[in-house]
Amino acid sequence: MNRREASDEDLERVMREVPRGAFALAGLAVGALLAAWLLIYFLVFLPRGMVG
Amino acid sequence: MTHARQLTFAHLWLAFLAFAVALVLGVWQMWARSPLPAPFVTASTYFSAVTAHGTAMAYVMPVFMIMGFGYYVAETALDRPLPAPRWAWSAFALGLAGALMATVTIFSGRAAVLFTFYPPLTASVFFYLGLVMVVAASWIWCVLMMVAMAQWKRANPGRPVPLAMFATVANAVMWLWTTIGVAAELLFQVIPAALGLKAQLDVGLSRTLFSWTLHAIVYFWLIPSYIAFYTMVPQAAGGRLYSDTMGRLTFILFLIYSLPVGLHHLLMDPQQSNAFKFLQVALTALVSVPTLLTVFTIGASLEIAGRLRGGRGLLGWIGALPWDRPLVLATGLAFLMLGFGGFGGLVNMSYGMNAMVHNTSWVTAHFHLIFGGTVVIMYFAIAYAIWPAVTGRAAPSLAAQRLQLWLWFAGMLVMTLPWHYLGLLGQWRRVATFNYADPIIAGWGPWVVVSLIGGVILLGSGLLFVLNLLQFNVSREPHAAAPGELYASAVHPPARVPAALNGFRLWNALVLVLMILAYGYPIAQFFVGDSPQALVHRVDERR
Amino acid sequence: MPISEEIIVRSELRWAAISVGVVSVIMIALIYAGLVHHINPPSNIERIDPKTLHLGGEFTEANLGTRVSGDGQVTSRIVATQFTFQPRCIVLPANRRVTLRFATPDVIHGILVSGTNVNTMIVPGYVSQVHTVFTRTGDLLMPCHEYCGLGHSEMSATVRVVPPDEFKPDAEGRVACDAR
Repeated sequence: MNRREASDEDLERVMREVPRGAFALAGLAVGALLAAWLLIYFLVFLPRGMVG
Repeated sequence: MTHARQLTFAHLWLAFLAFAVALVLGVWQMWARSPLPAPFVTASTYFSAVTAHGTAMAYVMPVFMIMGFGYYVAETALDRPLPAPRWAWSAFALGLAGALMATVTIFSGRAAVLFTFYPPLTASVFFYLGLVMVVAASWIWCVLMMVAMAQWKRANPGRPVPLAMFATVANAVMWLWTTIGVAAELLFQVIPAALGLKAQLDVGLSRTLFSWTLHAIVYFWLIPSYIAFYTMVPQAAGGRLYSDTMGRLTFILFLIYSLPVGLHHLLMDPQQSNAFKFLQVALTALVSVPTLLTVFTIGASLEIAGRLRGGRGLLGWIGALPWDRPLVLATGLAFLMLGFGGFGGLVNMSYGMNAMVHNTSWVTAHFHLIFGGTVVIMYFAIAYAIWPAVTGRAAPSLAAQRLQLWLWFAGMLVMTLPWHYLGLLGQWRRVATFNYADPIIAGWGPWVVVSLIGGVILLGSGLLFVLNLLQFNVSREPHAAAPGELYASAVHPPARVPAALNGFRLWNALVLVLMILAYGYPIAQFFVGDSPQALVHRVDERR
Repeated sequence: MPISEEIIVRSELRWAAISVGVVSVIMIALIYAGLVHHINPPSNIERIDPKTLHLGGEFTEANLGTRVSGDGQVTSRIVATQFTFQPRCIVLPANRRVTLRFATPDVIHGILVSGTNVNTMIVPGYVSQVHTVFTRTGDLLMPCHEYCGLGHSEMSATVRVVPPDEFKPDAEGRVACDAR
């Protein structure tokens, strides 16, 4: 597929949706990341006790 | 392409040969550490192998890969021949000689200090000099990249530097800043000790100087993969780059925030205060932002491609992407590994949380996954993408390329996921053989074997990669298309950009300010009062 | 004309704000752990001359291991060398604040205590100090976790955490591991 194939109208049509999908994907990914971090924070890190 | 073809060919082959040797060593190391009996295992062979593996994977392979890719970008993105190609070849010769010198020294058992050096352990001076030559070669490359960009700007006044080259030069500038730390450590401390000119050295200072380089170097490794994300992947997927401006900002953010964060490698060290450790943790949190931005920007770019191909729905466009194209496949796999690897890294940098994982297999898991996984899988895909233009032949089999990428992904997960778990159980690092008679350690055995299987899969994938590149040489189909067609256009290709997004003067000033703030006192403290010195411990005496 | 570059940049900035928000949650959680749960990196900067630490002062051989001072503070002193810990076994009470102090006369070492947040580098020229409270009893593994030379793989010690009523210092306040 060369760069001329997508016409301006195609791009315009598509750009009405973008970046909803990217928000969804990135949001899910970062949400999962934060959830995993909080899990390890509360379930492993804090219970291992005070140190310093 | 005038000079880049041969330069890129030579540099990448050298990188991948070093890589292949290091892969074999890596699998042998994992075998040695497992409950299964392995041949040739002694402390000396093991730690020499670890030194060779680390030196090849962290220094030799990336430097030559990045130099070679940089020459390719400089000619194809700027559409002009490389300036001073003789300097480029001299740099190649210098780097090759240095790599060989370091290799011979390591394999003769006179440099079992690992790629992190760990003074006051002191190896043969030829080990360090070899690496200095590799770094010096890379500095020549940095200058050539900056000259190429400056020449283009003079010939194209007012026009924005093509993003791929802007990012390449951002990486070059960052690498010059990055190497200051290890260069100072080697020049003023380690090499004088190796030459016998110093009998003592300040270990707190050497660790702090090395930390300056140790984090920023990972961004040096990573930026070429991000260059592929921003400038090649949208094109390969049949879409557009969502925002050229955000691309520029991302690389600028990496330039600024990669450097003043090295202390997060020293969170468990007794020579730095909590104040500076916390400051650099906060800055580390900021350096995660350009990666989070990239996930969104590349996601949006791929979304454009997916929707142009008929994908619908909130996430349905993902399925519509051309996953049969190696660059697209590698990107998907890279982002999956980035999720796991990024999580591991977040835990590492989390201040007090580092105590849970420091110097355990968790750390090993993190950097193999994020560098060996996310970054290196893109190195493979970049090589596949540019090899037609570099060799003048067409790709013989995309299926073999895809298989190799899938094997790399699978092997990396199988190898590193158990390591995360073992790290939390307390399995520590840099051990040649574990005492599996100990009940706690015995429980780790099965997971170590699983991890070893992952390593073997990676070795297979690595060998298949080399085979896939060799196939180009025997392919009969000539490749005719122009090299520039690999690059993506943005949704809004910029006609002009502000000077701040077209050059690095402002950003260099900011780097200087941040480094003084973050590293000024942490380094200066060693020069105030009586900083204790440790005795040099040579590892290269003839036994 | 498809959507303008301004709208594109604004969507990126919205995402950047979300990213910064997520990262801020993490930073706040870390500050909370540091201030409220007292979990911080061990950063007691204390210099010591590695070449003379065995000759006199705190880290002479006779003073190593666990000792309870007059005011009830439990401190365990350990020297890390190529390739052993002195002593190789220490006894500490559970549920009581203890202090571990490490020094080395030679190269970089490091320790972790399995299952706990006790983790520190041991750098020649510095005393590494970690305060903690052990909550579970038993024999914990304390390996050297930083490469210190060819003998690194064999370098390991034991931390024996005993219930408070089994922690009995002698007349000098010292407690040693009995041979088991």
